Amino acid sequence: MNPGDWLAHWWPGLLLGPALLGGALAFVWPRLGFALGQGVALLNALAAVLLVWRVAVGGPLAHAAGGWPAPLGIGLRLDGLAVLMVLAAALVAWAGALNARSYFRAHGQAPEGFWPLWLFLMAALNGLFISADLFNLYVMLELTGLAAVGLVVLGGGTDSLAAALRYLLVGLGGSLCYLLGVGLMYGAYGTVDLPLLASQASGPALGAALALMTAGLFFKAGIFPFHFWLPPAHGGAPAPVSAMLSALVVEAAFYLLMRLWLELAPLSLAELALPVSGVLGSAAVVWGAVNALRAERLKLMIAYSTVSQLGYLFLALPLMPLAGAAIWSGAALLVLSHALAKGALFLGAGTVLNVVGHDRIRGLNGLAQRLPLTVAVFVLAAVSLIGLPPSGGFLAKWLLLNGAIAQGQWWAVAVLLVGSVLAGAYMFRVLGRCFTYGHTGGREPGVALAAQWPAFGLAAAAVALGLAGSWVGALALAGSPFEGDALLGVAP
Amino acid sequence: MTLSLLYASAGVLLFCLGLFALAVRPHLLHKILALNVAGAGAFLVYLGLAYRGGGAAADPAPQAMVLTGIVVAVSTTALALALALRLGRATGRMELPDGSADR
Amino acid sequence: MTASALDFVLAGGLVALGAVLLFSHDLFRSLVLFVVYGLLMAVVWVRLGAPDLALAEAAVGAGVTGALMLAAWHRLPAAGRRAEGVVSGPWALLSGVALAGVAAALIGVLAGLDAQREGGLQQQVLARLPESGVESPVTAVLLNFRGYDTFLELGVLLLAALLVRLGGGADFGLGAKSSSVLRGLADWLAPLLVLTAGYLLWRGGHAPGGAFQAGALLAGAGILLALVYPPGADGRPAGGPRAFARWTQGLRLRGLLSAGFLVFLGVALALLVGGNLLQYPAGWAGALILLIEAAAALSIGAALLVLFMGVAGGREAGAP
Repeated sequence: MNPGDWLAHWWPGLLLGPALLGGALAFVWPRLGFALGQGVALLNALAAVLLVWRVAVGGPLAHAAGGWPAPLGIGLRLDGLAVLMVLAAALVAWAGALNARSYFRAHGQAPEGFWPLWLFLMAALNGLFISADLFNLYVMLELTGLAAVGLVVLGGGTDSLAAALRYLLVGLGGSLCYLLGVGLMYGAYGTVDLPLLASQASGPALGAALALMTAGLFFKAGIFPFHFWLPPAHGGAPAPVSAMLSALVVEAAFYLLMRLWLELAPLSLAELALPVSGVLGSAAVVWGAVNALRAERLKLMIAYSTVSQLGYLFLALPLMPLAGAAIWSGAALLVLSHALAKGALFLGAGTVLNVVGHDRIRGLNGLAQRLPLTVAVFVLAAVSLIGLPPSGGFLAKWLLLNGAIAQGQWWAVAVLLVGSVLAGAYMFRVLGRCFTYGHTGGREPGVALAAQWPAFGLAAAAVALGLAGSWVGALALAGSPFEGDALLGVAP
Repeated sequence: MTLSLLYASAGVLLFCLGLFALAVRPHLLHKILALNVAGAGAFLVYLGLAYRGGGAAADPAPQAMVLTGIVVAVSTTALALALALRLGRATGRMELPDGSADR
Repeated sequence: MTASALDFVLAGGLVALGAVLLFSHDLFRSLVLFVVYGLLMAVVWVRLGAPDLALAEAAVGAGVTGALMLAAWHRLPAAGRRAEGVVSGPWALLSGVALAGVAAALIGVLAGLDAQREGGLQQQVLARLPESGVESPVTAVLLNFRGYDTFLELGVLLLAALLVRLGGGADFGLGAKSSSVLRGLADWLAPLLVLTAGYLLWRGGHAPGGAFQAGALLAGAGILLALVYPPGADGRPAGGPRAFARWTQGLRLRGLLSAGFLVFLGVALALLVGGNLLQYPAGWAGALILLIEAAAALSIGAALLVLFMGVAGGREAGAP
């Protein structure tokens, strides 16, 4: 068997096996948690890179769990978009695991339960990205949600507890909407397999089921006005956890929306319904950014930035059915670059918290002298979040702009530009403080300095993504409903 | 009215009642009850649509899905209750604190 | 088939019960009605031709969940036992109107669906049943055709048990004062429950029953013993189940909790050598399913018991 074939057969095992096994073993033997966490996170990142290579070279992969093809069994698939999500999750999870080593050292060691939850979250996200079965996705959503809530609780204190409980209740409400939608889908069409439904389903039941599932995913993605649970949960969790939640968990819900509306829903239905997503997305871009400008704490500001950046994704949805390849690639790039940049920002904020002792933005004067590497992380992440060249964020927004202009959707152009200006404003508000002369106080650095490198790696990757943009954009199209060249597919 | 439609409609009503109670009842135990009632409503839609008439066994696939759903529901209920009790002991009240002051 | 008067009473009763329990001002009454709601739901499952679900609903939906709710009630802070009525205001009104609209629209869709519904997977499940290794269609879907779902569901249960344990207090023995008569009854009932669990597990291969129902009964036996045996001086039960409670803690308890998940995972990964994830080799399906179910039943029983103890829990989190 040549290596390619080997990967084509074993890939579900690679993506689920180490993380689930590691998670369960870390639960049984907490003392092994740290080693398992580090080892599995590295292994998972290597697997992700290998699979990116495999999909880029050999095309999408499919697997029938249990050996039963859909509709009887559960279909798994790894196409371009899925493997890019797997890669983003693996990189952020690896960086987070490396960072957690130093982050928690300030408190002795990682709180009990951290490593099993971390590994289960990694597995659940992988499982979510590769599933092509709507009911299986429900189970994955619950697994993801439970692990995420558990990690938020580890923030300690009453505020984290309240945030986690609110997150849990909202998430469960969202799951139920999704679950009812799946039930309706099965009742009407006799299958929950996504590709089969895409080719068979039509009629009012399809619309109703999609509406229910979408409503549920809106809650889970925290899109305006369903975002109320997000800032306290993401702002209050331990920094590595915030990185994973803000970078991946909310984006996973968006990823499912992309699957539902661009693969499953017929074009006529998508054109009818998706403008709602555009309106909510536009509101989220502005609302999130305004609140990020008003936030007094760094982590809360970053969490509100997530609300705003998610808005771009929802804004892109209604442009996709028509502009196809360009917007699909643009959205994939935006998801990826936001994941990397946001992961970097939260890890950086964790370092600030540990070294300075607080994360009040007013008190960050002189941070550039104190923690130059972390400030460099903020700068690089800002470049990508604002969308300055040559970052991945720039390329993604450029693709979205192109698509919007080509379709004459001037409202989308306006929101994209306003959002970028606001992102610049809230990032410069922090950076301005960092470069002002002053003294931050707090304990001596040295405790958490090693934690800065993973964050720097993520931020640098977010910027470098722009340089590999055409390759990534083309990979995102592998196995997608759209064909054509990501970068040249639209008239300028 | 067919049996299928009757029970599925009852399921829809319970689902919506549950979500409404989740939104408007402040007590955490009521919110958790609401999730369970809404969940059972969703299960009723699954099984109502799986009914195959005249004493025959229902479609096994949705039955299996609902069994999975019941186990997920009891797991999440226990977690929510445990967290709610911890919050209740910390704040003395069984309600979520007002989140509007987060800045 | 058209609905009979009994069906209208059952369905209407469920909705009315749901409405009353959700909007009652007496929290304790809500909790008791919730148990009734679960039992009534079990009756509906029988009516709809799903005895497997009826068993699971009675044991887990009404039984364990109801026990969890009532246990939580007993641990509420004094100020938390009053139900505060409902939030009112424009948002509440808006969500009420929106949900009423959603209900009407969905029932409309269901009515349209009723006439032209397609068959579902029943025929395919029955056609492949001989290859599945079991005779019960529901068990075949749960552990063979959609075994991947069931495996992950064990993961959900394991995570919940982990998280509830983190909150402190998963010890056995609740400090309830109970009479020796009750204890004598429990001494008889608990072994009976364990035996029944074994029977349900074995029966699951060809008739309603299986790992979940069996696990729920095991948990029921544990909950019963925990309720009637007050803790001794060391916080653990002083009577019969003392040895068991002493044995199942720390590493061994965690091992028991994850055994079902680990066995399932091991089988899934090992089978990748010769086929797909969880693809049982011909002739081995029955034996492997029994192995998985036996381990799963033990873990499910332990997990449900831990969930109950975590909510009803002996010691306070953070307290010595």
